Amino acid sequence: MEFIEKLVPSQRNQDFPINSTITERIGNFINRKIYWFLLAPSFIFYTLFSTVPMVMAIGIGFTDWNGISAQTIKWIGLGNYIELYSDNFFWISLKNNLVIVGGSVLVQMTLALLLAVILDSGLKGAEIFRTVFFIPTVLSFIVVGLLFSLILSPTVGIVNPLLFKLGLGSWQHQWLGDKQTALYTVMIANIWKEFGFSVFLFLAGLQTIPKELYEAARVDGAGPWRNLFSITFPLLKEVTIVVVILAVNQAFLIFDLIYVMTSGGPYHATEVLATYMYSRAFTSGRMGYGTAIAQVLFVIVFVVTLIQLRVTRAGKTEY
Amino acid sequence: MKSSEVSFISKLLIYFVLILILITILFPVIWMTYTAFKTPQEITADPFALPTTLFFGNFIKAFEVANFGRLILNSLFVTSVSVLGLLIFCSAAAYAFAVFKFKGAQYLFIYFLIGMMIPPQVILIPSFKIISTLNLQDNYLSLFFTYWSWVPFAIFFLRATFMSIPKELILAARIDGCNEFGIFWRIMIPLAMPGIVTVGIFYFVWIFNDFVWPLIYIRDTSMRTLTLGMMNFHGKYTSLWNLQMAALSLATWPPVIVYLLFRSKIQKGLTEGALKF
Repeated sequence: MEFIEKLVPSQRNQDFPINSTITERIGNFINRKIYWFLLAPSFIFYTLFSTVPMVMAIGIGFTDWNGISAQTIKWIGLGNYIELYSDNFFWISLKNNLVIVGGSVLVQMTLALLLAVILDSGLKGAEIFRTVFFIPTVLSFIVVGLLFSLILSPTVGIVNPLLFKLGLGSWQHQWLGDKQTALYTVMIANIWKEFGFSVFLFLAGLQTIPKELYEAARVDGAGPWRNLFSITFPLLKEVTIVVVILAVNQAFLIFDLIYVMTSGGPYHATEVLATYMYSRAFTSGRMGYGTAIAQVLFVIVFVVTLIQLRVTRAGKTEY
Repeated sequence: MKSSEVSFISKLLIYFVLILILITILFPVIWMTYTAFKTPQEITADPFALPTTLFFGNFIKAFEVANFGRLILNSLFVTSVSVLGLLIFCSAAAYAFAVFKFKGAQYLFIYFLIGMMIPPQVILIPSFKIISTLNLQDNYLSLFFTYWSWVPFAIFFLRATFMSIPKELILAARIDGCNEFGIFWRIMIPLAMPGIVTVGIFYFVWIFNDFVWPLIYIRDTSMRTLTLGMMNFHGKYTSLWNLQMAALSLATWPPVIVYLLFRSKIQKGLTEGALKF
């Protein structure tokens, strides 16, 4: 970039003749400092509506603010966090979050990877499967949640009747109303929505693997399974990291889906940190406390992401 | 692994699994749609049965009651303005980062990058406070400002795009007397268009399907977005199954149809974009 800077006259401070107009000088100023103007809108909106709230959130977490009156805010230091520690619902929410993260990531990582490999192998009709698998990705979580609520409905849904027809009548449940099944049901809905995106990412990654590697391996006598484990998986390591990080992130922050399917019920069986935060902040009017919950959520996600990056930075892949 | 190397039975098994998953995705949507064509009595009678006639009553009623046209228009309006603004702001910022060396550029870039890690849940409450202080609740500006703060993703993405454009073009344009803004607007943006379109698609889907920000900012029923409207409709008319099916069908098919129509273009753009990372 340096050589361009030196050669181009417009970048240098120009000496203005006495009779240059204001417009010319302003124009020249804009031209030289164009990057200010290019960056300004992004910077303004990002700072005002992303980083400033972020900083505020740290502060609000240390108060007992009820969200309405600014006069009665009291600084309570770690009061919220101490209360969180002995708050049963908080720990239930955390546990539920972990279940959803574990299940979703496990399935997305393995199933999506397998599917991607299968679809990439030149199977006839792969295009159709690829297209259909991606459909849930373009739907909103609200739509997905409502759709699942409908098919699981005890009155008009098809899941229970289907089980009955398959002779599995005893498996019928009030899927969303039963404490035992609600969380797993929500988790399955999440997987249904998200796995297509993971498949897509893996497929993109698979396409970067040079086909010559497989040719060379075949010449050396390697069979398909050997290919898979010795070539495909190692070279997909970076994509896998991305898939896992995104999946973990999404599952920890999950909100829309649960809000629309169960609102955290029945009796907190599907309560997660995001829904609990929302209920405390906007329903119970305890914004200080709710913010503290959100802060904990953020720290968890941040730390988990860092750990994943650290653990998997075991050297770059080499051929 | 080449398809030709796998045995016939394995292939059969694979197809079986693939088709099973296909059905898991398609059947609920199709079922919901054809159920919406049934009369209320038919719906409760046999969930699987196909409708005897194409009863449009549910759709008409749902459209009216949910004010569906309004919901979609609102969502489209909010999404379009937000995405347009985002694309302009992010292209500009990404171009600045890609081409110009200035003091603190590195730190500024990292500053933007950190933002990608901020989940909406954390800033939900303070943002609500900011917006209500500015008295912007029930005003679409609240949503515009919020979505326009989502710049980090595109800045990160488009910076790579701009960096892959040969710098000689800029040099030549400068020598020809083009001013910096002209270079940006008339040369670099058209060249970066594939990347910009890719980013635009991502943002469009994210913002159109967004729920939590309209949830806390919009109380006025006539200003609701589609996601918010669907949620409210569900809550208000929960046991009116016929309307539920119809309304949800109306909400589900447009994105699916748009996706299916532009599928090849979308897939190409996404793959190329993802690889440029």
